Amino acid sequence: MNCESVREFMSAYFDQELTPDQEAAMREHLEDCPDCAQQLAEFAELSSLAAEMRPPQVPAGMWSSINASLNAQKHEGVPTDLPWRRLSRIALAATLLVAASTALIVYWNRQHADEHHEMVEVFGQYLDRFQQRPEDAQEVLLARYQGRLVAPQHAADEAKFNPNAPDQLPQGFVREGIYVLKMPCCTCTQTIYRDSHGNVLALFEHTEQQRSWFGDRPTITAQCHGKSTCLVQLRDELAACWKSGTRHLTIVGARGVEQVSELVAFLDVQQQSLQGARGARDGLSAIPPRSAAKGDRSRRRTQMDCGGRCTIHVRTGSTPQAVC
Amino acid sequence: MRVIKLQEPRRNVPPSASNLMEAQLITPERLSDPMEDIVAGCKRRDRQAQRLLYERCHERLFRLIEHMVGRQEAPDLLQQVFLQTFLKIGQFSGHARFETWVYRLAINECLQFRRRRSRAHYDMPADEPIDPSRDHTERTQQQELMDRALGLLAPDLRAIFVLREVEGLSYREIAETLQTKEGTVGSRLNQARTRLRKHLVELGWKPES
Repeated sequence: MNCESVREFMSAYFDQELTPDQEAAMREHLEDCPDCAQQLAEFAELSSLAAEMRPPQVPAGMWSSINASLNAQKHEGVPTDLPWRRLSRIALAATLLVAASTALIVYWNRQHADEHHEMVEVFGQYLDRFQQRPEDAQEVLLARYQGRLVAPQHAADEAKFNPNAPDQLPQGFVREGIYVLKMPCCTCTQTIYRDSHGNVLALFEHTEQQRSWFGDRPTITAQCHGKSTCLVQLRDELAACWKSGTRHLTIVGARGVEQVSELVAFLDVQQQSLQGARGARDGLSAIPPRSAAKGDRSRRRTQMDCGGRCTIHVRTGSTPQAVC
Repeated sequence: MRVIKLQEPRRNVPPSASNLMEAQLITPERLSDPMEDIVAGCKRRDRQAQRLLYERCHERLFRLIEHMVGRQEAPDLLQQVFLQTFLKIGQFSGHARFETWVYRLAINECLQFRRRRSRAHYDMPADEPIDPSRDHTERTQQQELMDRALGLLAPDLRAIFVLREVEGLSYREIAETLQTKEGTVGSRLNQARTRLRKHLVELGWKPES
C-alpha cells in the first residue's frame, strides 16, 4: 500500500473497521512510514481528548417539562386513535398533491421566468452590438441559439414554416443570408440584408410576439400601414415588430419610421402572396391583399397613437420621440 | 428494592388520574425492559413506557445534542427531540436499531435548528461563554477547547465525529443513522479528525504527538 491509500483508510484502521487482510497491509506500511504513523498517533491523541470530555448534566426537571408538554398535547386534543391516523394520511396525501402541483407551477413559472430573463439578456447584448458591428451581434445570437445558415430553398424545411424572406427589400437592401435559430419560445428565422452603403437590416420571423426581447428600452405603439406596430428606440436606429398574417415579424436596424412603414407594407404584401401561394398550392382560394404598398407614402406625415395615452407627431426623416 | 421516585413538581398540569399513575414508582426491573417492549408501549402512548424510554436515552441524546448545538440550546432541543420521538414513533418500523433511529431524529432536529438560526447569523458553540460553574483545571480547559473546536466543524462532520468518538457507534450504525453509505463513513471521519485537530491547534491546543 502507498501513503495515499493508507491515509484513505486511516480512520477505518484506527477504528478497527477493516478486514484482517487490510489491517495487516496497513500495519506493514505504518511500521515503515513515519509520516503515516504520525497521523495515526494524532488520531489516537484526538480520541483520548474526546474520551476525557465530561458528560454534560441533563438539567433537573427535564422529564417533568416533557411530561407537561405531553399532557398539554393531550388536552389540546392531539388525537392518537386510528381514524385520526387514517384522516391524517388522507390529509397528508391531499397536502402532498397540492404541494406537488404548486411546486410544478412554481417550477414552470420559474423556468419560464428564467427563459424570459435569459432572452432579454441575450437580445440586450445583440441590440447593443448591432449598431457598432452587426457581425459581432450576429455571433451572440448564433452561439446562444444554435443558429445555422440555411440555403433559401431549404429554409422552409429547417424552420418548419415558409419564411417571409424576399431577395430584396425597399431602399436597396439585398438578402445576404437566412439563419434558423432554436429559441426557447420557438424556432425563428432571421434574414440579414445589406445595402450598398454597408447598412444592415435584420428581419426575424417567429410564431409568438416577442416584445420581451427589447427589455425596458423606450417603446411606443404606432399604426404603420394600418398595422399596430411596436417601435423600439435603439441608440440611433429603430427596431419594430408587428403581426403579419399568422406570424410575427421583427426588424432591427431601421433608420426611421418611414423605413419601418415601408417595410411593413412591403412585407405585408409579400406575406399575403406567400399565404395566397400556399392556399393555391393547397387547393384553397387566394386571400386578396388588404392594402397595397404604394398607398403608404401618404402616411408618412401622420399621427401615431401611443398606446391610447398620448399622441406623437412623426415627421419624415425623424425618429419617434417617446414624449408622452 | 431500589426505586426511582419522581420528585420534580409538575408545572401547569392539573392533577388527573393519569398523572397519578405516572407518579408511581418505576422499578429497576422495568428499567431493564427490552427496548422492543418499551417502543411498543410508546406506540400505544403509554406514559410509563415514554418515561422508561426517556430514562434509557436522555443522557446519550443530551450529550449528542449538546455537541451539535451547544450548551445553551441543548435543553430546549432535548425536550423537542423527545416530543418529536413520541409523536413519530409510529413510523419506526423496527428494521433498524431504535437507537440509530432516534439518533437520526435528534441530528435532523439539530440541523434544522441550526439552519433556522443560521439565517439569524447564529454562531455556536465556538462563541459560547465558558461555563463558570466548572473548575478550570487543565482537563476542563481542554474540554472547553474541544467544545469550541467542534463548534467550528461543519455540522455533518461534527455529527459523524461525535457519533464515533463520543457515542461509540460502529461504521454501520453511523451509516444507518446518517442514511449514508458505510463506505463513506471512514473518509468523512478522516476529514472530521484532520479538520478538528487543525482547529484545536489554531485555538492553542498543544498536542504531544
